Amino acid sequence: MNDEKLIGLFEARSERGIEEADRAYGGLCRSIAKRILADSRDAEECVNDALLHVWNAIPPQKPKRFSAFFAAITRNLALNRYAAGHAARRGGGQIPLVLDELAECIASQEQTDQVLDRMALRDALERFLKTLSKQHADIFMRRYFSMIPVSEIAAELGLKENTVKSILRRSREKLHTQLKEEELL
Amino acid sequence: MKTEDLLEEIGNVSQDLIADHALPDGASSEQTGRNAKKEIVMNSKQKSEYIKNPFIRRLPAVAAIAAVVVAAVVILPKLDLRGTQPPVPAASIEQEDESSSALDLTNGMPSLIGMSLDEVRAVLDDQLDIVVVSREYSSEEEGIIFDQDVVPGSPVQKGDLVNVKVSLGAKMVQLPDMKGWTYEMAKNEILRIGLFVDKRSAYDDTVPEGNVISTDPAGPIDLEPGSYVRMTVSLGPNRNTVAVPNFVGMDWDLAQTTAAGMCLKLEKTEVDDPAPAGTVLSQNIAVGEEVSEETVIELTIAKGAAEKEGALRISFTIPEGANGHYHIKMMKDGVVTSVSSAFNPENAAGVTSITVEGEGEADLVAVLVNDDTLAEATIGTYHVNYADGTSELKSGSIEEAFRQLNNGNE
Repeated sequence: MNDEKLIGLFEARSERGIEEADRAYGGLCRSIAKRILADSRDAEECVNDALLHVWNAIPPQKPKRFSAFFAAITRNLALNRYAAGHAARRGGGQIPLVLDELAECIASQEQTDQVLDRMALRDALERFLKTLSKQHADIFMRRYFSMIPVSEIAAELGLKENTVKSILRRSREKLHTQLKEEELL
Repeated sequence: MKTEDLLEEIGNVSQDLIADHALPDGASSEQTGRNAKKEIVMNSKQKSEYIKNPFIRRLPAVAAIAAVVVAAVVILPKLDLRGTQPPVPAASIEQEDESSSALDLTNGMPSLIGMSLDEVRAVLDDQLDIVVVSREYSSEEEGIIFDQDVVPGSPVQKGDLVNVKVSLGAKMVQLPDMKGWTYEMAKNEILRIGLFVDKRSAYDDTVPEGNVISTDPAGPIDLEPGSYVRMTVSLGPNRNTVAVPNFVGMDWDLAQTTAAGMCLKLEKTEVDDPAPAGTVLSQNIAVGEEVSEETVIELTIAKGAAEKEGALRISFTIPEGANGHYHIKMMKDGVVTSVSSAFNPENAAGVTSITVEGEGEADLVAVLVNDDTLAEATIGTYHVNYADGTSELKSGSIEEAFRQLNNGNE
């Protein structure tokens, strides 16, 4: 079923939309949630929550890319759940590692104007991703959006782990430089 | 700013960036062609292909980078020896830098796989003794190296012997007729003969659940190894039901959209009727009746006036919540040129239309008339091109016109 038809089901308030969305993208979203929460039950609940959010959001929203929409909601819910500490006691997941890596880009814990910062940060991130080559952007997003372990990214792309690590390190440095230049740090 | 903020905002970048970079290629149904087919395999978790394909897909890019690195490492030092200092193009430096860990000659033997034999010989012939030990069919194009005996990364010296296998191109494999096979059997056979599966599901009253309804292309047929076969597998008879909506009053396009959203199918019979062309006049299954998905509903559609050259139809979307009786008139230079049939927004299924005729191009003013109060409100100006059959709303909105008339009522 294509995205248009899928969105059509949500718009027509057909519960089959939920089944079809789960069938098409549930696995993908479950794996993202699982990497964040490190627990299958939590991941499952998180994807169910995300499906409910999608159901409530469409209509009026009409996502351009259903997969990205669903995945982004799942990821946000999983991060919230992680932050709330429900999952922390059950295992580490990729979050501590990813946070550690990303700390290099920030290198400061100063609190500034939060809201403005967030909007500018998102904008800067989008521009930063567009400056990366396709391969480097793929690697960056697989690591920091989908939170796929470096070893799996390397296997998927047919690269050495060290290559992936060094590409990620250089991308983080580049992001750090850009954020600093734009006075976001 | 906190690291957590950065992590969170990475999740809020545009959907395009997420779909293009973070998700496997399969996580979008917008792609078409071979890429679109590959994604399904990934979704169905056929892990062997999943791991294999991204690598295979990237071989040309890897080979291109390898060629740049080989050129940079092998040719540039030679030029130096001749006493010249050629400017190093920035792009070369960048590419070399980016791929240094994976494909650096200084780390020993480079991977030649995916590169053409001619290209490799042109660059490496006076460095290494490249010997073709066999030419075989493979998924690589003809003339491309697909195997080498010196493991990439192992130390090499000038004049060392490297045996390579060169592709003869793809050998065709035969896809059998798989109708009625179980999905597992069909999938295993397809993978065994070197093809990939793109699985789709569909309801079918005759083919048992889990069996193959059809393949695209249909077997028996010769295919290149690595080709994708779209396989439609039966979900059994469709037991999901939907309540039939009221199609009457909709235009054909809206009826189709509605039907698609509810997994219903439509057939139409056109009849002569004064209603605007394409308007649904009747349906063969009553509103609210529960029917299986994919049920075909027969609609009777107004044929409308015969399409004349220079005639075109302008559609108007009726905002929700409007009520009363209305019609629309089109005016050119203050003179009425055409009038729509009267409509009641509550029965008009969200859309109405009007046919206009003329030559060349013209600006027409659309006016909404409330038949109950005779109040009028301008919808806007349409620029009409009769020759192309196109119209464009230049200014105004129908929502505003309804708002004006409804405010007048209150």
